[in-house]
Amino acid sequence: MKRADSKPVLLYGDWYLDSLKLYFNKTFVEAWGLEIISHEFSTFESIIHNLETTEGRSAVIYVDLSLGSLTSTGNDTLEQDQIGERVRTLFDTAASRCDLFVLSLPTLVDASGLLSENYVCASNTNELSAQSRVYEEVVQAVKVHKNAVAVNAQIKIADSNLKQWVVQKSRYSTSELKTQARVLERLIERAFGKPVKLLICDLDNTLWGGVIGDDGPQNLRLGGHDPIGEAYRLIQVKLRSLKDKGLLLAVSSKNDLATVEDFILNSPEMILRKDDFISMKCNWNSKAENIVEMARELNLSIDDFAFLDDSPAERAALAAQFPSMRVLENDGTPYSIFESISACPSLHTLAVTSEDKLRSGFYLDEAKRLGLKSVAPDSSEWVKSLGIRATISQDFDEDSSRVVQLLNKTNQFNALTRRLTPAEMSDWMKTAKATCITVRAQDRYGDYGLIGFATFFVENKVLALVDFVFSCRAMSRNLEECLLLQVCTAGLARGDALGIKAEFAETAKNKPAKVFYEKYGLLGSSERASDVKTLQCRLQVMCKHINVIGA
Amino acid sequence: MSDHDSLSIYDQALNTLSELAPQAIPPNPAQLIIYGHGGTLESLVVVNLILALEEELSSRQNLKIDLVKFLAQLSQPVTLGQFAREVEARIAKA
Repeated sequence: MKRADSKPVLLYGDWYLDSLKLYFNKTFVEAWGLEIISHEFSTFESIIHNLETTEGRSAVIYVDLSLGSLTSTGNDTLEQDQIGERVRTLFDTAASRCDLFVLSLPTLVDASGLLSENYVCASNTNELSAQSRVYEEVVQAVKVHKNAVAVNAQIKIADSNLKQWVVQKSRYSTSELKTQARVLERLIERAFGKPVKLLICDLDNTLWGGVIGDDGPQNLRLGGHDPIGEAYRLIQVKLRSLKDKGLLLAVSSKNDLATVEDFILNSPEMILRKDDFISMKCNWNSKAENIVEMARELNLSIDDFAFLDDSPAERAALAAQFPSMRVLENDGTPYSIFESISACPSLHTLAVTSEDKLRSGFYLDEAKRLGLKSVAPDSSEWVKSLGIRATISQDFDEDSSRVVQLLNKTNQFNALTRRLTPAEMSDWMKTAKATCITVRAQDRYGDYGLIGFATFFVENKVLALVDFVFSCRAMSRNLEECLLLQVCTAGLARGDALGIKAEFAETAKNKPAKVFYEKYGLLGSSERASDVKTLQCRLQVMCKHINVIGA
Repeated sequence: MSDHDSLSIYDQALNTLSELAPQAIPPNPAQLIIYGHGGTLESLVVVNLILALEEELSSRQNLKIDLVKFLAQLSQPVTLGQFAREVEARIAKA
């Protein structure tokens, strides 16, 4: 039976999709509230076109496409332009009707390695160009639609299992169906799950082979003509790539800091360098102590952490102590460590924003800012010394990826803590006739990126503030005041906002937002509106050291 | 011969069934009718169960057995326990 909050997952392809549906993990389906519906590809176009009006939006649309699916008999010869046009229309429509659009396009060959006539156009001369054209459209769809991903572009021997085809109407073996189901589950987790912000890594036998203190730096296995060393090197390559997409890295290792720093600086095989880690705790404290200290220093929640270590004892101890932290299970070999990183969907964000790429550098800059704070006479002087420039924008379409990411990731400075998909946010903005104001910031040490946004609408001369979301890493330097000031100014600019009111939904984590709302008389203001002009004057004083651009 | 004499095939079948249709497994799974009169499994589940078993036997034990044909030849109805025993017997003969 369909649950009220179920997320529809639509699968399109050949008849085998009824079987694919069976291979989804039932606990996963239940936990995520998925309703998996399969359709033959022949019904794809009509259902997709009617989706918005008849069944509502879908969470996921998965299309397993073979060229044969695009012809009614499997023997029609289609011009590649016709194929391209038809595929593009399908992809565009499907991408606009769901939150995650997954394209699967296996290249089907027969046992002799030739493109299979069973699944592509009848004319051999057209096969290759038609296949290429569909690939072009897949690449284009992934480029154009932020919610689109392509998977399963491997070569598949179509004739390898005739029995599977005649009995089950599937060109995939049961183990391939299982793999497809796991891939889709991981994509769903990546798209809709809570991402990890910080991965804390052990060093010995985790990022390199051997124990630096016992074996000596010269005897560690890393890179070189050694399968073990190469595997550790590839672990570092993988982590470096995740770091470049916004994952923060840190080290907690029972080691001597000077020895570790020397090796990281001087080893030609090291991929990860000191600046790739926002925190390095190499000491003899317990790892639990180090983790608590990191959370405090970085102003992050342990819920947002993941832990990578070859030692089962360390993993078990930390899993017991911090049940909400993700612990990457492995058997201690570099191959298993690599796999544990690859297989953890929360480490792999699907939509990478420009802020993600800046994140690691921000934390390194922040250490310099805090150094300045320790010598500044007061908070106001510190803000002044930073030379902050805030850039204000009201272009929701331009900033929607980052806005939705902030809405869904931010816990501490989030007034409503509502969680919406990009499509839901966009729909709400239109329905509520809301305005979204974003703030980006820079200072003498670096770029903070887009660090906050607010949504509001004006009704009956009252400015109704809905979302007020601010990144915890940029708090306490009057930028949150600057954002609220821009909201007041925009409301007044419309000429008819006299009062301001705000909804607030208290959670276990959003105390910073509550304190801020209390300070500016917004808490409880959903009942009686505050005077917007008075609030604006107060905020102007607070923001005197911030240079605002684009207000 | 008891149901549990054919533990490996039985377990493989039960594991696969737990994955495909956990809700269909009764308290005594050996008595579950998988094929023929009185069977409650969806035909698609039966097909996937048999093909998955074939694939397991082929990849892990290098045994090529046409279980689809074999199942159809058994006297009906067939329980999971009977099926596992018959497959074991067939493997022993081979």
